[in-house]
Amino acid sequence: MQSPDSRQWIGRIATCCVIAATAVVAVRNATVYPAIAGYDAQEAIDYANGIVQHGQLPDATGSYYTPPGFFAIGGLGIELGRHLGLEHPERVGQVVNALAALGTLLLLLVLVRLLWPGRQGLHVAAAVFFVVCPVVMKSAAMFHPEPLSMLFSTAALAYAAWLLVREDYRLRIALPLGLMLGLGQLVRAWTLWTVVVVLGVLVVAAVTRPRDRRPLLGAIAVVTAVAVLVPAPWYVHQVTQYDSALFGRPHPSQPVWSRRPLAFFVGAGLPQVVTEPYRPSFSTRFLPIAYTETWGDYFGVWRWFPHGDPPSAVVRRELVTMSIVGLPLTLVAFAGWIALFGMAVRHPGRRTETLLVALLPLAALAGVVYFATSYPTPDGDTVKGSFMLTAVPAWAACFGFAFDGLRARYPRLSVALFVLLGALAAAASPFLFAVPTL
Amino acid sequence: MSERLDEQRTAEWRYLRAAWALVAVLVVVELAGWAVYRSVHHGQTALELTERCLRREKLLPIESLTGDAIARTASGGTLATRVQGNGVQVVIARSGDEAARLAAAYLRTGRKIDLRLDVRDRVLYVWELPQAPSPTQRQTMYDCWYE
Repeated sequence: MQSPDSRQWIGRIATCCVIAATAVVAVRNATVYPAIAGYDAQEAIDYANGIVQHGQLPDATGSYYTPPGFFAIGGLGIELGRHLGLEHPERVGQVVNALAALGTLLLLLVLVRLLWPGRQGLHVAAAVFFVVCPVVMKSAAMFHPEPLSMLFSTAALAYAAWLLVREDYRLRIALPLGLMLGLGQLVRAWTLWTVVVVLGVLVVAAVTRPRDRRPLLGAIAVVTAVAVLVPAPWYVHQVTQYDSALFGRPHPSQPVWSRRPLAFFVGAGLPQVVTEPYRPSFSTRFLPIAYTETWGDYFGVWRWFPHGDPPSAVVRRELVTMSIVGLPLTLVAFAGWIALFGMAVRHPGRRTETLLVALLPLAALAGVVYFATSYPTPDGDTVKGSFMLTAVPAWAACFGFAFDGLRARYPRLSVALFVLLGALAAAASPFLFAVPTL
Repeated sequence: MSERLDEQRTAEWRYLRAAWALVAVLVVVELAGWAVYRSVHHGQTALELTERCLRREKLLPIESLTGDAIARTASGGTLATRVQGNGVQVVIARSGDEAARLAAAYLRTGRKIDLRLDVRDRVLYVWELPQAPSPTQRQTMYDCWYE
């Protein structure tokens, strides 16, 4: 029988190993993965070059609707890469993304320690889920804004959790919280749901904590003001230029709810979601695309390239393996999310801070479903897994919560559960390494 | 401290237990739904499924075919409809090879057919208007293909 102290040490060592492995794999991938193979890569590189070389935003072309935060950093990175004589100067921007993913992992650990202190098993499980979920490593290797928006979003969650758990409503917490929310909006519009969730949870706290209402309302005012002021110039520019602050692209004229058939929302894509988890399988179904894009490579940007031929037999085997590995991890995370959501709805004032991880996956899912429904495309392109990247840390926390709950309930199974988690991580790990050519 | 943690875990377990049950129910419902769908639609052809979807879900009229000699040779059957003013003929082959043969036959006819012809797996969509169909028009048809 191990002492609690030795268990704590084992947990800490395991966490350090996960962090070190993430750092090595993410940076290695960023220096190996061809930038041009990533999502909307040429648009992203053109945008970054345009900002740094000509001081201009795209004029209704490419990703003009995406805020310039990442592209400004990526553009500077390209300049630095050229200065250093790199063959592919975009690599600097890719390494920035790798570091953003690593930073997010550290912030996730801060978040789960604040929400569930002293529960090492939960912390390790959440970290493993985050790292093993391929959408994180895929995005972290690309020249794309998503990882940076995930970093800001998770930083905002961690600040909000600190504010609520420590009852620390001072300016030194509220100001950076607002700043993180504002900066996130300057990188990717998807972080808007983090803004909604954080402000919503703070309002719930103000309602349910009458003793702290005054300082809480003060903090909410500061957070809101900063989160609005920081991205305001970007929104003003977009409204002035395109009459829309977010995504002013034309869409079908019929009502949103009739743009997709019912099967789009409920179809599970069985059995192809496991046997053929790549396009064009189930291209008119939301859930299987989101699932296989998150746990595999549905669109062909990581292990195969859609030249017109299906993936090779070796790649198909790898994709099928990932579809199977992702299943238990997804179900456990889903159970954790349901439990946290149920607790939050039933007792919103008891542990208000857990609402942060209970609401973010829901908001992210609702946002992506709305987008995919509003802008239907023939190949399911509006259901990219990376669109929900900002919610992955929250899903990881939900996974850790459910995993730890099982361990605590069945302590004799604790070792077996960790062995199972380790086996799933080992099965997934080859897929986390980028290949130099597709 | 330890007692408080135990109490907290007990309270959490009540919700986790319910969550596990709900997840199990959802998995069973999804699998049962798939099994029922397969048994109900077993034997229904791709043509029947497509026609049903176009009528019921998209509320589109199914039109009679005009004299298209190539479409008549398709072993999976054909139907025609109209999406946002653009007529489209759905030509279903039994295999990818047959679909390629049908596509080659259409391409030999000229008449800007390369813009109007869309081949996807074993189904061909032949559009009426002499320009490429809009993404929405294509999407409407893809939504009603069940393979």
